[in-house]
Amino acid sequence: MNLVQAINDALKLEMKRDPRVVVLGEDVGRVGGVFRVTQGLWDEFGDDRVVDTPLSEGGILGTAIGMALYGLVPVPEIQFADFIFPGYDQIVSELAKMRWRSGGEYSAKMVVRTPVGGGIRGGLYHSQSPESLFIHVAGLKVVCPANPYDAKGLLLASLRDPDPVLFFEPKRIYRASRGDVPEGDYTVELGKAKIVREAEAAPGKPAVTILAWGAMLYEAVAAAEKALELGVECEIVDLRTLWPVDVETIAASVEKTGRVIVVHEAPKTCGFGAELVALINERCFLSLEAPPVRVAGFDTPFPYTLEMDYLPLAHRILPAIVETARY
Amino acid sequence: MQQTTPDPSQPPGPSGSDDLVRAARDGGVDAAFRPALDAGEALHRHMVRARVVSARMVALQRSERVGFHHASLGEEAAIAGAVLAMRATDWVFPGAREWYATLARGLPLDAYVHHAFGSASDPAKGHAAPDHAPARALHVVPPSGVVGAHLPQAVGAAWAAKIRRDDVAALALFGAEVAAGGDFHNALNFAGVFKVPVVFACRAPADARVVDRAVAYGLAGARVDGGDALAVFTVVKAALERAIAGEGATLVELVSPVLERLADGALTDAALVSSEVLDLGAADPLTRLRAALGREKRVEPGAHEVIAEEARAELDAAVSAAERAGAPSPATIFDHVYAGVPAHLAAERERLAGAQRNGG
Repeated sequence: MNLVQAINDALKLEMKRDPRVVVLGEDVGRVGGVFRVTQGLWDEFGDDRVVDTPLSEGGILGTAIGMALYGLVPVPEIQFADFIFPGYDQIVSELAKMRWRSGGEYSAKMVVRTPVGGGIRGGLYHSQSPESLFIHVAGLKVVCPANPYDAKGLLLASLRDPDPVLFFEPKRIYRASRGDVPEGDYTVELGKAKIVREAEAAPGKPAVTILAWGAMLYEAVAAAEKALELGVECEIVDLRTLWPVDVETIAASVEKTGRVIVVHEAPKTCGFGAELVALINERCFLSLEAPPVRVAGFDTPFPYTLEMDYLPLAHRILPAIVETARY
Repeated sequence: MQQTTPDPSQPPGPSGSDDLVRAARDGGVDAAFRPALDAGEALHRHMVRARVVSARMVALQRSERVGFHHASLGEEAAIAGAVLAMRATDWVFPGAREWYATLARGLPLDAYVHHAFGSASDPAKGHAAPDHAPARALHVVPPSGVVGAHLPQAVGAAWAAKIRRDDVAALALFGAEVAAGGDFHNALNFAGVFKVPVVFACRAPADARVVDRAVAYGLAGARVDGGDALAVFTVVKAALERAIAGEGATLVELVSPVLERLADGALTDAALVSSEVLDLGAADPLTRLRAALGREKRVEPGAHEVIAEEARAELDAAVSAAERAGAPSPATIFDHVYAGVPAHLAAERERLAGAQRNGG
């Protein structure tokens, strides 16, 4: 299965299991979504539960919050994360704060699904990675899977979690990422990172921890392969849930290696890497052998023509690994 | 109820144009509005209470005992009339100035006052500013601080009820300023497209003509004298009946009265806590309803004084209870951010407690 099929499978499974789950968004019904993630759901579940909406993210998210208050579990799809901003107020001011401002009386349980990231020749409005803008808002959980197994398990866990979840789908690997996915029901626990490649530091043999998620995980792996040829081992942590982040797994790895690189597509300044580095400094200061490094998108808008120069691909990660290892 | 088609070659009708719905006819109540008389006593009681409470809260705000208050003097017919027209099973989404909706539904006055003081007994746990009280058991969603954000949510709740085949509608209360924003458009557009059982009740100045927007979204519309409780009740009830019959949403514009006593200048501190606030001039919705019900022998003369006295006594007790209760414990800042308390919040809570132990 690829990532698209795994997410589709999770939605189908949960819609069968839980009649409260409703999918809504632009062209999610008959068309099956701009990336066909919701294909077949409308045929199976009909107009009431798979709704083609007007082109208005504020309307989609605002009405979804009302549905959630009433007791449904809406799964709004925003066609591209870049287009979430007309609905940002409803997410930040309403969705995230509903439980808190009502003293726990109300909650607005939903999973907002949206594709993120570049590398598909989408240009500046179909390529962005705005995760830090949601991590910064108290009350939201933020998830980003990197493979089909995790995508299905994390989506099922997100749908059953009591809090609102922003579910970012790395569109560059929607079809490129393939893997075995169990047919039935399973969940991948939120808030748990996964070590996808282990490393041991030894005297004279430095190792580097790399934190990554989504499509950039594969770039980190590719860079780690090259680094191994140069005698540097890398331990790679796939964060999977960005918030609340699994700081224990991160700290354990950094305490082991003493060196850390964060990779993300979003611009470097105030990107999630900044928070990760701060958390590492707070937790692991005395274990650090080198300054933490961020390999990220530039502090510019996302370019159309030069997107492969903008993205923190393996060729940009490798020099950072070498520098960090030799610091 | 039917909105007349506007003539695009003409400017919108001026204040007082003849589409304004009123219950009065020849010094009595028009036959179409007489059923509302059965709700007259309840309307009267709630409107007097809303007036007394708002006047007291204005006074408490002036003396800086509460942070602020969204005064609703003169809006009582619009708010109580619309809320009482709905059934107890319908959902209500007030804006902050329609805070009385929660009380009209049955939130005890002392809970509202605890909330206004953000006390340890505030149902919102001191998290939200005054006039944003929740009442989930009464199907009232607490107002947002973002003006108009609740409109698409009201549509979503009513839409969810329709999806579930529940016999439930929603009422959204708001002021005309909301019509300038995107949430208004989103709400009316989605309500029109999906034929959602929702009633939009918009308080508006006489020259706003928000109702004209109904045509663009395929909604029914009506423009009502917002100082006429019997008219508001009757029209909102008709809109509710359309909604539950599957005929879709209605935009009801409630034209706010201009109160002579408020237009002349602010009420004195002494007036705010006395019976003076019960009659703010001929346009006062309380005065008008009292007169109409008096003619119909539906309320005893002086009933308003009795209701007001009772409310003032409840307020006295509630205010001193709220002041006695004090603030919630600092640890409660971290409650209800999420369903549980994640590790990073538990750590912050622990650090805050440590700072307090150390006399910080």
